Parts: sequence; structure tokens; C-alpha cells
Amino acid sequence: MSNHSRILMTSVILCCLVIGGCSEFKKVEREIINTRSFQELSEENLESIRESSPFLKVHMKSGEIYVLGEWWAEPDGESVCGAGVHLSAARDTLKEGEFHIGIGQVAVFETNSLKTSSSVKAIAVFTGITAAVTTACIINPKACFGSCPTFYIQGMDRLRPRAEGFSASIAPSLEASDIDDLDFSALPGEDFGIEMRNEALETHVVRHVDLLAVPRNRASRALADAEGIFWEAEYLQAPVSARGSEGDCLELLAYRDSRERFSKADSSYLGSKEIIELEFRDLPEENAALMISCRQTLLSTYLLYQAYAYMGSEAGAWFARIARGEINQSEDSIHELLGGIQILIEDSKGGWKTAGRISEYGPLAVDTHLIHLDEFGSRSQKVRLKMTRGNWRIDRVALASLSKRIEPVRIHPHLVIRGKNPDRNSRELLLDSQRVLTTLPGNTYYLRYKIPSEEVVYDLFVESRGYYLEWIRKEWVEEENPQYLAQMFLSPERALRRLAPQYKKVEDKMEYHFWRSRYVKQ
Amino acid sequence: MSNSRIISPVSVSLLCLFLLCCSASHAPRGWLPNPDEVPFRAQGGWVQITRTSGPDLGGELIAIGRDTVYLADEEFHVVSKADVISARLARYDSNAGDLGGYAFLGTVSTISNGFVLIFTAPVWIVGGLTAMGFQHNMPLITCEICDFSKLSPYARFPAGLPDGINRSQIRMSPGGI
Repeated sequence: MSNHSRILMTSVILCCLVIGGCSEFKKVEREIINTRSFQELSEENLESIRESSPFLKVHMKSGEIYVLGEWWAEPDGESVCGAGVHLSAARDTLKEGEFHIGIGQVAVFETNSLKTSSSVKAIAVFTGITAAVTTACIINPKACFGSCPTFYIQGMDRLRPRAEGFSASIAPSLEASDIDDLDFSALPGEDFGIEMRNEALETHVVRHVDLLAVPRNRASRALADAEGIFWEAEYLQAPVSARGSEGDCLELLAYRDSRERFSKADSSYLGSKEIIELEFRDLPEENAALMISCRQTLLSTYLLYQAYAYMGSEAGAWFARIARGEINQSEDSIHELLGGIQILIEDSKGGWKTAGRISEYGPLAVDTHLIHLDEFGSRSQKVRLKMTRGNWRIDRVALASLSKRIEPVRIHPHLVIRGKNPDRNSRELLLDSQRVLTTLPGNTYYLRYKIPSEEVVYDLFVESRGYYLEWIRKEWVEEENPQYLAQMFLSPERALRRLAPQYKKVEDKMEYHFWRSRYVKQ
Repeated sequence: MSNSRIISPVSVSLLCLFLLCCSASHAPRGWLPNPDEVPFRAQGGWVQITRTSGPDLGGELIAIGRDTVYLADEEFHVVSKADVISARLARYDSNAGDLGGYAFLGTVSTISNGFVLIFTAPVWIVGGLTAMGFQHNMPLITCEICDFSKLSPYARFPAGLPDGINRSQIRMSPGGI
């Protein structure tokens, strides 16, 4: 079924549901009022009854009935007037017209109010869910949730993952290990739980998921650098100023508070760069490093999915050719043109030198990175972050004073639970480096780890190894285009210019649709 | 499994429930008013009475007396309250069957969700069936050890059977009045 047909069909059905559901499903609340109570009603109460119950039924002592569409009570309270129909006790019509009815002959009055049924509210909710998923996945298929296994701290995280594993490993040949900072400390002897989910249309092939517990002093913080070496940071200093293209952004960058600094992509070239200027009060005497907590925007995810879309039904064959090295990429690949976050430090002559680069990818979870600064011998307090516009979301930047290297304690899961039951087979797969655990969309595993009982505090990191295979969505196949795919490989700059207007159309809603299209219940 | 192979058994299940709901009321088809018609229709609800003596009786609830329940189908019936084991009153047509139809449409619409239908379709099925059950029961009043005062507001004569009325002329309303 084509996109247009599906949109049309779904629109028609959802319209039927909304219109039909609103008009049909009502409940009736009836009230019987005796004559004495009716006579005691104030004008306000009568008006309120008229609003909620447009028809008044006047049951006579004889068994006859008047059904009045427009009615009012005379001020003396002795009669009711109105227009409607007069029926016999056998419910034969006696007369239609206007009536003046003496209260003395009335047995009781009856009112009926119509209310919306609660069932309609339920249907409305389901309609909303379907409409949201449909809108997200059909109108903007490249915003559908994707990217690698997600990790949540059991009992704490519900909506946002704490970490994402091996995001760049999109094929078997790209299998890699990934260390992610969980930004969480555990106490000695604690039984710590991680929830690993497959929330996307992907097959995840997981070699292992180990916990790295890094012991530290109570007043410090453990951080990992790009080499996978752990350091104890005794002092974290927020910048005194931070300026991006939008002006002052210090408030967004000073604390880890989920308020992220990000910008919009350039409308004519997606590789266009921007700079954030940072200034710190003073540089530590030695072992200075820059700590950055960040994640990517969905720009790179969009481009990856666009490449898959261009591969279309031939995606499998394309992957095989890439894995065999049969496709020569331009030196300036899209990956290189987008780049990571380049950290520049001012040298003694006023120029700028590259101190390091953050090149770990993933749009789901904020990860913390460490870039060493002091090996350049500069005493400048100014640092620049250079990156592609609209490609990064930065939560926190701080200057760290590193005191010493520390060795983590590697912990394997002692228990793996799937559903509600222990899953010994899955645990064995995760412990055996020659075998892998394969997960499918919707799978959730609970991994339990025993924290060592030495009397220190442990900062926790998760190390995952594996790769994942994206499922090619139906919507993507319709965009199959080998020429454009070739352009992404051979002339990436032109591709980034050509795709810019296309991306700008969906950029604002990418995050919104992305997070609402994941495939597990919260 | 393809989307259509998932949806097909769902369709059959919902269709069965749709038919079940349609047949759940003992009132003649089309006799009960829609909720929108209740404010101007002058008839009692449909009551089904299980008695200690004799077969079940069903008909328009005419009135509740001190010791008796009055109802009418093609004839006028007087049932002693002491003879009633249980009574079930349908006040109006719940349209639960239509709701089943909407739930069916909703389930079908999840085809457009692609693979996500493995989550959205069950939401529609479970939620739709729950809503149907709720809607179906909404206009019903059931009493095992009967408190007949709950039923009287929905009788043709809520204040009781009028004095001096000619009982032989009282028949079930034809509906639509």
C-alpha cells in the first residue's frame, strides 16, 4: 500500500472515529421531580434544568403525559406552559401545540440530561495514539525511533535512556565496544539493575553488557576519556562565560540539568560550522581537562536513514559491498564533514590549537566526555567548541582537575531477567565472548549486577559491545535512488547542500516525532 | 506475520462480539430509543423478569406498585414482587455494537502504523472491548434482590399506576413514539 493510500485510509477512518464517536455515544441521566419540589425551584434552578434538559415531561395523575420542547413555569408556581405534544395513557397522540398545565393535576415531572459517555473518552485516547503514531511514522518516516540498545537504570528511569550502546556499529563489520557514563553512584554491596531495551525497528546483536564500577573518593567524580582510561576529578569548574551564535548560553551549559544548548542547522548547507566561546576563571596547575556532557541532535540519524532510503530494496547488497570495501568513499565523507565537537585551546601567540575531538555518536542519551588540555602547555583560560550547526545538544561543560588514574572493577551480570523470569540462556550468551544475544523490537532484559562490598563509592559506567541492523521501512523503499546514494558517498558536500532544504522542513518536529514513535510501552 | 494476517483474526473476534452485543438486549430490535431520543420518548424501559413461578417475562415497564410490578408486551402483566428472583432493565439502546464497529475500524487503522501495530492494535482490541463492555452495561439496571425504587423512574408511569386506568388497553408502546 502506498503512503498516499495509507494516509487517505487512516485519515478517513480516524475522521469516522472522531465524528462518529463524538455524536453517538452518550449516556442519559434522568431525574424525577415531585410537584412540591418543582414549585420550590428558583428561577435560576429552572434555567439550569432548561439548559441541561431541553425537554420536560409532565406526567399527569391520569397517566397522560405532556412532552414539552419549550417550557416555562408561571411565576405563581401553579402552572407550567410550553409547546409540545400531549399523549394518552396508552401513548396515543391527543394533541400537538401549546399547553397551559395546572400543577394540581400533575403527578411528577421528568427531566433527562445527555452526557458524553466515558467510552468515547477511551476511544478518543486510542484514536489519538493511532493518529500520533501514524502521523509520526508516515508523514515523517525518518523521525521514527531508532539507534542501538538503550539502557535505563531499573526503578529510576522511565522516559529517557541513561545510555545507548554502540551507536555507530550499524553493521557486523563495525562491531565495537562502547563505554557510557551512567552519571550514577552506587553504594558498596548494592544489587544494581539495568534495563536493556530494543525500542526500534532493529535487530540488536549484543556480545556483552558489563558494568564498570569505578571507585573514587567521596568528594570527587570518576570520568572516562576517549581512550577508555578512567580518571578521578577532584574539582569541576563551570565556565564564567559561554557565547554561541545566539549570544550568552552560560545558563544552559553550567549545570547538568537536561536543559541543553543546541542550534538549528544551516538552511543551505548541512555541514556549516559554528563556534561556542568558553572562558574559565583559572586553569588548574596541572592535569586540566574539559568535561562535556552532550548528545547529538537527529541530523545524523536523518542522514543515515536517508542513505538507507536511497539504498531501498537493495540495502542488503549495498551493505555487503561496503563491508567488502568495494565502495570508495570520498576523503571528505559525510561523517567527516559533519564531524564531532572539536575542542580548541588558545595558544601563547593568540592562535588556536586543537586539543581533542568528541566523535562518539548517538542522539538518545547524554554521555560525558573528557578531553585533556594541559599537554599543549597553554595557560589560556579560553576554550572554543567548534561543531556542525544543528548537530549537537550540549547539557554541561566544565573544567576538571584530574588527580589520578583509577582502575574500574568489571562486573558481569549475575542475573538476567526476561519478562518476570530469570533467563539463564541469555545470561550465558552475555558471559561467553564467542556468542551473542540477539534482541528484536520490543524486547526488554533486566540485568542485575553485584556492586563490590569495599567501603568506597563507585561511579558507574556501562560497557556494551555488539552491532545492530536497521530494518528497512516500507516508506523508505519508495525513495530508492542509487544516484543520490552515490552522491552521498562520492560528493558528500553536494549531498549536504541538496538535502538541506529537505531537512529544514522536518527539523523542528524531529525530536517530537522521534520520541513518540518508540516501540515499547512506557 | 503480515499486517493483514494479524488483523484478520482480530476482525473475526470483534465481529463476533459485535453480534453478541447486538443480541444482548431482549427488547425487540429497534424498540429501545437511542440516548438522543430518550428526552422526548414517552415509554418505559424494557424489563426482563426472572420469576420463581413460571417462565421469564419481558416487556415495557409500566409501573412499580406497592407489592407488584406492572409490565406489558402484547398483554398487560402483573407480577408480584415476591415472585421476582431478578430483574434487568434496559433504559435505552447503548449502541455498544456501533462502538464495536468503531473499535474494529480503529484496529484496522493501525495497519498504517506499520510494525508498531503489534502495540497499537492490542491497545485498540483490549481497550475497544473494555469500552464496549462498559458502554453495553451503562443503560442496564440489574437487581438480584430487587430494590424496585431504582427501576420506577424508568417506568412509563414513574409515579405509579394511575388510579382508574383501563388496564386492558395498556400494551407495549410500539416504539418510535
